[in-house]
Amino acid sequence: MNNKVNYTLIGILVLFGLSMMFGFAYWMLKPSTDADTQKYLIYFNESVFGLNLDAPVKYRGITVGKVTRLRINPKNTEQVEVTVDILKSTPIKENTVAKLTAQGITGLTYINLTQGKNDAPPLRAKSGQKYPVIKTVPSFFEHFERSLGNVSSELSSTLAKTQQLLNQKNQEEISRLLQHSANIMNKIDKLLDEKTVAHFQQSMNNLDKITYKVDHLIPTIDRFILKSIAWEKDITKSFDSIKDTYVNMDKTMDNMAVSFSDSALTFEKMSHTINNTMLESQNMMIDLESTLEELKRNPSDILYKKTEQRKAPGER
Amino acid sequence: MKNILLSFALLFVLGCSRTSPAITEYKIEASSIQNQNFQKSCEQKSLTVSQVFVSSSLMSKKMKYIVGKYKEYAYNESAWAENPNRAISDAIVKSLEGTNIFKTVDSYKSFSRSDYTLESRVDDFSQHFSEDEKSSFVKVDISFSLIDNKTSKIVANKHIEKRLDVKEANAQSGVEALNEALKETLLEMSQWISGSCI
Repeated sequence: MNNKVNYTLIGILVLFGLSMMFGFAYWMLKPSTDADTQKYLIYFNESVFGLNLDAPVKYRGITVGKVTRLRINPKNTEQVEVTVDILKSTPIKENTVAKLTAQGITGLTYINLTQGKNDAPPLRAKSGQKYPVIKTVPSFFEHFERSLGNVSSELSSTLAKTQQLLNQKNQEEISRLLQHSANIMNKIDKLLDEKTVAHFQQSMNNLDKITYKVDHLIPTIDRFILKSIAWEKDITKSFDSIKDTYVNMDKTMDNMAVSFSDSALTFEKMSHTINNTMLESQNMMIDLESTLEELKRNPSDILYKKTEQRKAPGER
Repeated sequence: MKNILLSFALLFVLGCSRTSPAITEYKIEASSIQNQNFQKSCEQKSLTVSQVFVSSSLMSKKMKYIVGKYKEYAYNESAWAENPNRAISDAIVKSLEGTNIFKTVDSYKSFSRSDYTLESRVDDFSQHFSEDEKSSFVKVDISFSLIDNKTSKIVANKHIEKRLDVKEANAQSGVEALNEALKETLLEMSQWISGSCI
């Protein structure tokens, strides 16, 4: 068998394949051109541990750029200056903030951009700034650390106050209080002896029986209430009847009062008339008495007028 | 029997043949009281004048007179036209009606109810002569009581006594003087009663 291998062709193919691989790798790793990206500066007031060069810059989870330089801010050594390249198409605005975010459990960190309001103006470099500066917010760890610091200080304060509260005097007082409590508990313990507990249980049993009886009594009470309602209606009718009777009696009394008033008036008039008649009779009786007196003195006067008349002054 | 009847008839005829002297009747009338300034306390009140209380001698039409202190006689030729007790009551009513002191004034005969009642007691209403019967005077002595009809209590009382000399010692002058004395009495009573209402 003639095994003729064209080594040249193989070499060409291998070189072609390698060139294609390198070309693909270059295409993949090709840095964006300056025309497509925009440089921004970010100043972190915290450690950027885990943030490396070429670390991704993400905008809402989408990689929009990378870290191109890391250094201590020459003007403020407490800050870390991070230079990033971000695609121009990314909407970086005045209110966009950068936050260091841990990437899983690998310890790597990336920069996450978060946008505020949509109508904010685009971020521009201010005078004196080489590139626009994106604001930062503390990372979760920084926030956690700060919170932890606050908690620690609060805890320290609480401990100090607790220490102050538990001074010697208060400890003595608490000891005394505990002693008293113990005494009270002892007394309660003595009080709640078996006999008392038995009594208590008996009382509870009795209460249970009473409850049972009350449960059985409630229907009777319901029946009693129903009967009471019926009785009340009857009583109401009776009272209405009595009221009507009283009203009628009142009318009768009014009529009687009118009758009595009329009678009284009639009686008064009659009395008045009798009184006047009696007065007239009195006058008549006096005249009669006078006449009878004269006749008694001289009975013959009735016919002969024999009594001698005394001449009054001025009479002839 | 016939003779007995004739005898009785004769006796009656003989009795009726005796003549009696003519009698002059006199009225008791106090002339009205006018143009006097009375108080206004009784303007809205009504008054009933009760019949006056008098002695029995004033309940008769016989006109009596007193000689000295104790002797009482009756005029033969003079008499009152009306019993003095009635006449004096009427005179009181008339005089008070004329004064307008009260809103209304009624006599005791009226059935109306009033706020006040005026009771009067006549102690003297007679002509007095001296023992020789040549001089004479009249005396009117009346006590008045104003009674509140709501409480039946006396509100005020007044005793008035008048004495007037008589021009001539006879019945007519006596009647004139008595009427004048009664007028003066009623005037004084009106002034008293006008300020007595509550």
